[in-house]
Amino acid sequence: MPLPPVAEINNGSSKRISSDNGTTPTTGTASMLDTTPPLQENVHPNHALFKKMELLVERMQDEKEGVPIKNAKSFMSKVPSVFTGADLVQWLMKTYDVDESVSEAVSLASLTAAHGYFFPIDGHNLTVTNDGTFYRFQTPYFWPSNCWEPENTDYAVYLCKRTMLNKTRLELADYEAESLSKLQKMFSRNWEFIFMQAEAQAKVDRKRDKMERKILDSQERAFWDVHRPMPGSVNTTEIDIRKSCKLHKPLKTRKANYNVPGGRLSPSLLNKKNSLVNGQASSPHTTTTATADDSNNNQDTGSGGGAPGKKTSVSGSPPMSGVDLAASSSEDLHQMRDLLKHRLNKSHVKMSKVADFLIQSCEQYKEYDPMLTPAEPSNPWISEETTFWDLEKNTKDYSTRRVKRWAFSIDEVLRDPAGKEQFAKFLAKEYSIENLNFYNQVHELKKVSEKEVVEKVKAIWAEFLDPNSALSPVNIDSKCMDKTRKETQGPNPGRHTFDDARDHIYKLMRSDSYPRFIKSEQYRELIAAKRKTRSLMPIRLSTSTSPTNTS
Amino acid sequence: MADAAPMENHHPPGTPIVTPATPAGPEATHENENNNAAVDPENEQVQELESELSKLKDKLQSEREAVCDGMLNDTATSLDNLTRVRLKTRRTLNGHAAAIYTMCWRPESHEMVSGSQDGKLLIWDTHTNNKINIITLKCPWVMSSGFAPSGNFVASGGHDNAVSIYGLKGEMLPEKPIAQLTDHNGFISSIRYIDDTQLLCSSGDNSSALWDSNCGTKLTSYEGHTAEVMGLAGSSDNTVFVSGSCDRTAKLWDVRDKVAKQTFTGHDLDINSIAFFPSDRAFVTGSDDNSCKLYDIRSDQAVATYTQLNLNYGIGAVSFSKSGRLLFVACDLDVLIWDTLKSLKVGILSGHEARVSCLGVNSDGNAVCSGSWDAKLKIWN
Repeated sequence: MPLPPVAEINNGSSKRISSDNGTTPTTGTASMLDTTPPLQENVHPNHALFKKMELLVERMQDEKEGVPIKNAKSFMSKVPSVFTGADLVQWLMKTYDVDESVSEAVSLASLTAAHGYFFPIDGHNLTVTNDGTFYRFQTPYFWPSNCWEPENTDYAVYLCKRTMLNKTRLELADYEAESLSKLQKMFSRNWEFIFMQAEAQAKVDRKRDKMERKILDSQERAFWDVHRPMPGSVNTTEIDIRKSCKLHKPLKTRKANYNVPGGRLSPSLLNKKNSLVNGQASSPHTTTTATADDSNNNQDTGSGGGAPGKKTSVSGSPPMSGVDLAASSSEDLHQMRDLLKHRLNKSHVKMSKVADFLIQSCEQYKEYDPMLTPAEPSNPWISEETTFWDLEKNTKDYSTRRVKRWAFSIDEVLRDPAGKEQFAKFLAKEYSIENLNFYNQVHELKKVSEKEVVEKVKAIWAEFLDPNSALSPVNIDSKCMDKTRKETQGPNPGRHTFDDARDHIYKLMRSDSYPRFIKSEQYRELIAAKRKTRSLMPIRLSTSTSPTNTS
Repeated sequence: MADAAPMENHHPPGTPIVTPATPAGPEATHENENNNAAVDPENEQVQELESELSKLKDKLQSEREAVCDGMLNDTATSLDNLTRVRLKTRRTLNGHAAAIYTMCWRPESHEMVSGSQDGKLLIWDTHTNNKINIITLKCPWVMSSGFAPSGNFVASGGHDNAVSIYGLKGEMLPEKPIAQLTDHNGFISSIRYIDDTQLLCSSGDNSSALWDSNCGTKLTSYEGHTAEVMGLAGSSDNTVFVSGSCDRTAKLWDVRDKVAKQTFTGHDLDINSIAFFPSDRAFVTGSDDNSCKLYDIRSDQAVATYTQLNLNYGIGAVSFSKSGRLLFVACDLDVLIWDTLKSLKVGILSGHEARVSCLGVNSDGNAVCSGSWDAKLKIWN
């Protein structure tokens, strides 16, 4: 019997119960609108993601309801504490409403594995397959939410140790051997320290119980698979540089004692080993040479965006630090109150009406959306022909489809050079073409070079606005006229001098001339005219000519 | 539900903090023994205002609920379902050497600019696959880019906290920026050209700004967000724009006014990306909480949510198709395609080998371009 879907992870509907970082619920509950819960600082950018995954993993590990874990027997020896991929996938599908299919469950599992929460006991590829492959859980000590930033020296110690242990199953993979030789060059001066540490760790390892060792070794290997991924796999430790600013203060990073992952050894043993290893702790200066030698390549440093994040933390810090702050000066409050009042004065439109509008808008433009209706005559990227763009520029021949679009709004007319031309023709007949000319000229003003601006402003004023001598005067109200005159004749006539006047004229055209244009004979003739464009067999190639791979 | 603090608060970058960083009200007076007498009446006023504010907010919320007579997909049930949308990769643009973080189409064109961590801006003719221009940036941590409508300029910004404008006319390889707009205290997350000489940019210093790129002057500074502003989108007539921020809200601004007109809440985590619906009355936000929401301006709230049951990464970028019926969403390695009206997933574009960081549909709607951390850009249709 399927378990109820997990509220924390079920994002399917808008009825989320609670989100993981303890913030207030989403829409549907009356909460502080216009206010949001306090921001969290100093969390890893992937914090929310890790929390979700850890919840998932904890459920998996549940003794009664989790994934069945066993100690398997393979031909040579026992394999402790594993579960199969197939069991995992089945459990996922049973426990969560994973819609669609097995592949969703597999990709969910693989994503969790890629972050290092569990891993295949053989190989370095952190993905999950739906078969009998064995997987093991990672110890919480190594979870990414502990904000690990392992350094190259640590990696060097680890690889070095592997070579000492002299077991075939611990042989380095090709890429690991390459990394080791690179690291040897990098740390050539201090290699003895690394060697000593590796030796000490290897000694400790040899004394351990065989089964325990297997488990710990595999977990350590998986840890490095996350932080030094195999070539070709995704590096999940890369941090988005846009979020790296959140790392203001150094996160609690772990500088590890890899021999003592939490929870596996008894406390007394833990302390003993701690002191043993600590005696040979890496000296600080090796660490600094390490960072100095690191290139800015994401692959090398443990935290991809970490360096720039720290560098710019001085600029990136928001004024409030983590606390739900506000300088509640009465001025600010007044302003807020005015805003809210203003907003309340405006009516709210019913959502069903909004929905109708959105639907209508989508339907209207459906045939002009090349993703829904094949473009005419052809989509340039599919047919490799540029006729689509050539036709757009053409103002002589145009299809009914194009003309139809002009009826949607005045913006469509103004956007299309052919539309503009036709509209101009119409306005000329109505003796109101100066409006459109003015509109166009103001548009031009935005594009001219800095030196020509003043001249152009004066020219526009002279032609369209000067109450005494304008050649083709446009009609704007006196308030606007005064303002514009002041600016034109002032010290700094700029590109935006006529913006208000232009807005006025635009509204005039939209409410007056444009509707008449659409109803006019001229326009109706255009619509009714037969298509003048050349043969319009949309060119559909059954095989794409582009050499790139298709998804 | 005490009204803890108004959220429209800000303080402009560069000015010293004049008010103490403690919550106002009774506690402040207790600590401020010296000014007891003088502060009291002011505190009273502040308290009054605060209670008035909380009443207004409640009223606003109840108005919103009153018009909430069903989500978008409820009304859209009568529409036919779309058939599965299958798009293919038509071009793969190789040329960058490191993770791509930004791309921007030139308006009304098939030219495009892309920026990557290798410190380069590449200008492409996406149809012929040629690189029209290569610009080497001083600061490789580029996060945003913009393309002027005339094709004469491109702009870029990032962790250097400045918008750099490069001229494309005349020179084959523009060496230096022709202008640098440097009045921000945080990274530049997004740039949008309004016309050839004006651009909007959003910044990690919690503000957005309107710049005249010719004179290099900041015309307006839009303050109000309480955390980094991660993206902005302008309406097609360029009179209003919306911004999305790490404070989990989106705000609507009139270009001419430095105070936000409306605030939209609903997301649980950072908003990373924002885009206007083609007919301008609505916009969509993409967030780290793995959901996208369609907000309507006139009803002042979310009318649809697009999310799926999965542990995927947050949404990195969003973009509408020409009619608005389809929404392209960058989510981890894939681009998902949603039916905007019915809130159903209708397609998926797979092919990138690392996270897809940026996305854009060009003006005529013929193609969608995705840029990824695998250093490639792909054109799909």
